[in-house]
Amino acid sequence: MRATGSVGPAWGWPRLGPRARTAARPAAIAVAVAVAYYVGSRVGFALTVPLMSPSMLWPPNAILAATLLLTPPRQWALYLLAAFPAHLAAQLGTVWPTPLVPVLFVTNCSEALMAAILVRRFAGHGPAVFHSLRTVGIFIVGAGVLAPLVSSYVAAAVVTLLRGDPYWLVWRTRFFANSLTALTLLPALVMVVGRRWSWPGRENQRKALEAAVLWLGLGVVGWSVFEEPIEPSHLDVLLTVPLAFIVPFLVWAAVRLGPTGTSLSLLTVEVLAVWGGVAGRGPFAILPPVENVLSLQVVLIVLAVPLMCLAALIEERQRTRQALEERLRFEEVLSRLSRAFVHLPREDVDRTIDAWLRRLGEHLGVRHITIFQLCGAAKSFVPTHSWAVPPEPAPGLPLPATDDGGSHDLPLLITDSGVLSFGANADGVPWSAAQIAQVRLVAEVFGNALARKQAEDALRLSEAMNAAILSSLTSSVAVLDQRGRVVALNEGWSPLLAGDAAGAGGLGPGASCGDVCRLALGSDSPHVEAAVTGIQSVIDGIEPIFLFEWARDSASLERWFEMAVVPLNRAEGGAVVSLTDVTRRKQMEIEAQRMRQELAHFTRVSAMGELAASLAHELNQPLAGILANAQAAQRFLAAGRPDLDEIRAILADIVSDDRRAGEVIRRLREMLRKTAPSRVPLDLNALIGDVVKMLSSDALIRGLSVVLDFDPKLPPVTGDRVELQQVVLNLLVNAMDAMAGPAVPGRIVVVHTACSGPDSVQVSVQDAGTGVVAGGNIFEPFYTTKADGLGMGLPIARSIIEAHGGRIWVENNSTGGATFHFTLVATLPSVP
Amino acid sequence: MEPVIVVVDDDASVRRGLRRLLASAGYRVRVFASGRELLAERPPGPPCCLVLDVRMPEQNGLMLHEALVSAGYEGPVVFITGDGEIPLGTRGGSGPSLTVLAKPVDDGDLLEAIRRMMTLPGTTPAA
Repeated sequence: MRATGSVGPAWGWPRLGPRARTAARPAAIAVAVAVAYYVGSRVGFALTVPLMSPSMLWPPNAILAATLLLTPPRQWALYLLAAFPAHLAAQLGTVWPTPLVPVLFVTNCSEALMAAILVRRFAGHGPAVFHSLRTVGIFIVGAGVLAPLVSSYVAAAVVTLLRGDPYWLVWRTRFFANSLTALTLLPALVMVVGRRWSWPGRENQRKALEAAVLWLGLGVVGWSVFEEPIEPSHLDVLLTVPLAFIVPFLVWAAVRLGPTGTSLSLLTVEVLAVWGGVAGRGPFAILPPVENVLSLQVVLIVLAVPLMCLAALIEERQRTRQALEERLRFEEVLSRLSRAFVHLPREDVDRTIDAWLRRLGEHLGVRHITIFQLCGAAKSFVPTHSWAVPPEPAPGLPLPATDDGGSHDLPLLITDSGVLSFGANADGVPWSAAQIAQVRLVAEVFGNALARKQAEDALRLSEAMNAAILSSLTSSVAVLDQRGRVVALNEGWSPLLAGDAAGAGGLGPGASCGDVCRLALGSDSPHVEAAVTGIQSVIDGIEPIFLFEWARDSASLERWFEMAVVPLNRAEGGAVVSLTDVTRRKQMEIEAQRMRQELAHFTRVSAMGELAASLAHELNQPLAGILANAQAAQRFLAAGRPDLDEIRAILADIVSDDRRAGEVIRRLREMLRKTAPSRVPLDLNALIGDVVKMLSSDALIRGLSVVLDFDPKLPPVTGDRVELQQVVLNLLVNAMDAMAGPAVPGRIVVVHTACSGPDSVQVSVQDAGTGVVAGGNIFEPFYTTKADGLGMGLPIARSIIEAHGGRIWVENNSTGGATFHFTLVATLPSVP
Repeated sequence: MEPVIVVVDDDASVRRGLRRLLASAGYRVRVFASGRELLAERPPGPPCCLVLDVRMPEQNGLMLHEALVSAGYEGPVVFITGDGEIPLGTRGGSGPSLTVLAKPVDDGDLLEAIRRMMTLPGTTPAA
């Protein structure tokens, strides 16, 4: 045993089973059986006392019975058949008449078969038969008594019939010879041949030494007892005393060396005794040969039976004790294994599993142990932990063990998603049910540890994933509980916290949503209250989402932010507040808006340009005609001889041309007014509000604001919505254009609405621009002071207002800038 | 055969006004509403001067002038244009025998241009 337990076993289960030889080499076994049978027969003949038919000791039958006890029944016929030629070769031409030889083979076979069937049926097979008192008892009765007894009746009859030997003498000699052989040689053969041979460990070396000493002592004593010439003077003691010296050695063997040692010791004594007996030496030599042999056989049988029982008893007790100890050791290992995984930190689980796989593998004597986990969408088993005897590569997932040959790997399901596979042990013996039950317990421990680790891994992964997602967001995100308290924050708030000059006192879990809003909007922002209300409405489930946008001036540039509040998708409620810098988006929106407006303006200008070109040509024709005719008339008159008819024709042409020009103008007017205006009651405040909304981004681009100063009790007016929108739009654009210069302070456009009389309302658009130039009629078409203006806005406004029965005018403000006013007729509720 | 000034303009009133104007200056004048009308009638003898409206349907003044030049006409031409644009092929607006005038055309400008071009050497002398 190694001190570290790294290679040698610190605790032990038995090495598992003998080499699987029975199925592998039946042909070789058949040859071996034949050879053994032949040799055994020759030995049997050598031990035959003259004048006697049967031998003193008859090995062939024991060889056949041992073969049958060690091999599966379906191969028996082969081995018995193989023994037949050996039988013939050994026995033809000997003392037996030729017809007797095959008959004796039949009786030999029947004896072996009877013994094997009885023992197998009631006591099992192989060396294990000699490991318990009960099975040894069955063996003694079946193989030692019944089989020789029954077969000897037949054999003796045949021998008597064919050779004329006295029946009972033949029967007696054969029965005792075969019984003795069955009780001594057969167990020795079964245990020696059926035994697992392994390099003896230190424990076994001591046992071997003890066995050698015993065998030497037995040999010396046995030799002196059975091989000494007999002195007739000592006849009285000779029958009992020398044998008494044998007994201690046999008891020693039975107590210390188990059934194998006992049967080998008995065999040794028997060989010496028979050898001596045949040669006429030893304690029984004084008897007549037949009696000598019989006495010897009886003595040996009487010695053998109790000794075998004793050896089996002791073996049985030892095995029971060993099994108990192993069971206890296993329990201890299992508890150590279980303890190793209790409270084991997650990160140590893999390492501990690897270490225990190695220990288990070495102690079980298996070639490899592997844990497979079911992985991925493909549902394939992937080895996660593996140990293998160094030269052996880690194996794939084994097939379930088969009964004979094939894989002796043992896969055990350890979790829903894993398999713990034990490789075949070094001897290639299948796993026994008891061993499987034991390793199943081990597998359960591994499975629980892995399942716990997987659960923890999954939890950590999900926590880490949540944290990573939160920290990866470019927005500032705060998670609020149902009371509006901060539960979690991401890194996005850091810049705001760093730049928070007002010192909101930091923002952490537990802060209120008011703190969040103050930090987000700025402590002095007027919108904080609205934001808090918005968040609360989402938390309370009143609103599904709350969006809020605002601009915030930082050191150099204006930045835009958006706050989005959505409910937290949890049973207990709460909300997620995300604060995003939308400056870039806003800039793009503004840019897009600007480009749209430019495009619209360009389209308008080019349309007007075409209109103007067409107008010019249409007007030019009558003008050219008028000029030519008028100048011709002048020339006629100047020539002093006017043809009055020609003058009249000229004047008619001029009048016609003038009418033509008038017609062009009328068509132009019609073209400009595409649809007939409608007349419906309108809320002027709402109408102005709509237009201001339309222009809000325009105002944004220009960096100015529109302030509304409405009379809430303004009566409705009757008019065309689109036309009046056009008027308000023109006036607002005009006001904004007037403040386009960079040096204008205030940058505010104020829109007033008011009742200006009992049945009229007045709208005023006040700018802080450069004012209007005195004397210029800005309501005339194509009058413009703007570089890109058409001068059509205000004339159109005037024509619309006048068409509505109103009036439009402009005044310069005392504070700078101008104010455009228009009035409209109020629609009074009809008096019933 | 007394040479005539040929006026082509699609606008009847302008046509009549020009005819009267040129007649008041003592020229013989033939007026046509279009180039096709002119080519269909084929007045006897070559004209001494052309007065062509540039912007006309079907065949404009420039195309008509080109057609007449390729038929052998070498005399002066006055283009009258209402678009303020300089017709292509006029090479800067005026040459020795080519004048462009904007519509409405002033009588002094027109008569002066005709008088000047018709006194150039190599042109048909005025009546």
